[in-house]
Amino acid sequence: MNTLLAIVAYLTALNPARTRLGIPENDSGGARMGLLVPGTTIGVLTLVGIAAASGPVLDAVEISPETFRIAAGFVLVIVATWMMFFPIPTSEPVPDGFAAWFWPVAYPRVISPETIILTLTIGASDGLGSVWPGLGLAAGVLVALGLLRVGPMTGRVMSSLGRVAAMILVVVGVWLAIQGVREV
Amino acid sequence: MIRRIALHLSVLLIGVAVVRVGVVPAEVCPSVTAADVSNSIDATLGWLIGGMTGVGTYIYGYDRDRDLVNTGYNNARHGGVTMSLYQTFAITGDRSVLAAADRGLAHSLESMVEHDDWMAWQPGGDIQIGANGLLLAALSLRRAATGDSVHDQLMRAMGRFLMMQQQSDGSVFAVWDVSDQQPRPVFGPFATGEAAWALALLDRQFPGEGFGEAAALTVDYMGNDRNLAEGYLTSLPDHWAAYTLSELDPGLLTNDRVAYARRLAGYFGIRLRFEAQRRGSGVNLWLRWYPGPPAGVGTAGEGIGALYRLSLREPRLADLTAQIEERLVCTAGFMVERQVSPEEAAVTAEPALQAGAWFYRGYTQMDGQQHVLSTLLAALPVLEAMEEER
Repeated sequence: MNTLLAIVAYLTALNPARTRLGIPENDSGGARMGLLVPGTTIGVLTLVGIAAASGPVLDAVEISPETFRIAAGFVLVIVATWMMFFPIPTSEPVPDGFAAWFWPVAYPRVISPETIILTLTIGASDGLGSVWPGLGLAAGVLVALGLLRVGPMTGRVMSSLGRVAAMILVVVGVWLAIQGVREV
Repeated sequence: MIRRIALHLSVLLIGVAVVRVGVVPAEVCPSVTAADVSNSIDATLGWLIGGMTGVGTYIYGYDRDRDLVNTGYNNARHGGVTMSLYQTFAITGDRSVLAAADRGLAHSLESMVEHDDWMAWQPGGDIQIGANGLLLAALSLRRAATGDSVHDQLMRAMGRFLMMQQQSDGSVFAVWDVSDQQPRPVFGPFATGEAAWALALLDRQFPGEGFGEAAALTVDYMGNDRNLAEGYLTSLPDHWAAYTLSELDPGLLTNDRVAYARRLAGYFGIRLRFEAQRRGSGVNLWLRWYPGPPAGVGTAGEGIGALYRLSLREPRLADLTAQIEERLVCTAGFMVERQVSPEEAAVTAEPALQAGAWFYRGYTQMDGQQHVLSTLLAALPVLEAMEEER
């Protein structure tokens, strides 16, 4: 997977427009940046750690990176289909205080099945160098969208953008699965 | 909130379990050494050569559940086993194998026919191109390994026969109709590739006589037109095409042909990765079925073995070498493990019919041994080189 495709994959898997709708907000409708920034940062660092460990992890479970792409594609298609039908993330209870950076920001908004499996497959096949740009850009867009106040209109636009990203993620998933089949 | 986190994690774990069991079971590649492979080769040679009859034919098949020898025979498979024995001699230098291969060859040479400027093997009925392709491949491998030119005239005449069956688009009619005295316009799934490989090998022995160009034309047909022309829904993972590509003169390896080799590597790769996931028991049996028929696994193995050799000499495929090597060694590992060892066979009713064989659901056949033998022969030098590097 080249870097451009990895960027597309992360932008659609992390799906900042949809994810933004699941970030705890303050009274003015903006995201609570004190939670979003550390939560996203920790989430990204965790995913980078997963990418770094992806080769040994796949070795340990005896799956070749090529075959794992098939699994990744399979999971991404399922998750993307879910995203298309549910363009707004399920509302999660938010704990008081700073702990909310972990739940629900770092997990399950940033560290999610789709970002974990994408990171494992890109990390194992292409290395960290292909993970950073896409993951960083997607996280940056998410943080930038946190500055936006979400009203009824912007909410509809964001959920529509989330749906479009989900459709693209279906294509990414199918492409990954096909690559997994075609590779040696 | 704790309940929500627990719910999320539970769904995640269930998802991981479903993906693990249903989509990506472990690909088990038992560790294997060159000595293991060498012993495995010896054991299967014991089955093939030990079971030869006085007239130079091989045991065709054996059903261990019913303790029944299959008395049928197939001439293309006879040519294939003979060819594999010459491959073995070329790699191991074992002259007893050469003698056995020569006995198999002699059996075929008893039924050659001559027609116009060509000759062909006609063991009965119409002349089959696949059987002739494999016999000519055997003759070419023999000449390359021994330097013996005694069959040169016959080889050229058989090459002319194959070229006569070849059409202008590179397709190869699979049968010479004896009653009509002309090629019958039918195709065989493997006859085309067998003919192409024979021509490519012939070109190695007699360069500049047009055999290589003819082989390349058929490679183009197999890579581009065959699926549509012959009605295949998916591309045929043709190991004979891989062999042909590996033997083509470097000057004939166009980008299109190299791209075909790359596609073939992908077909064999997924086939062998899938095979490595098979356990044949429990849930895995329902999801992956039994470990595959040895002939099927072996063809993928020898196909990837041929592409391994090609990737070593062809820079445009060099990026695949490591992955191909991994698949080849893995295949050698699980096929050595699946083989009936002499020790296991010793406690059965018919040790000689089991030792060295690969069974699929209780049945083994000569082509199963042949194709896996060729796979192991491809893997042996790779393992030896790996062990030397350590």
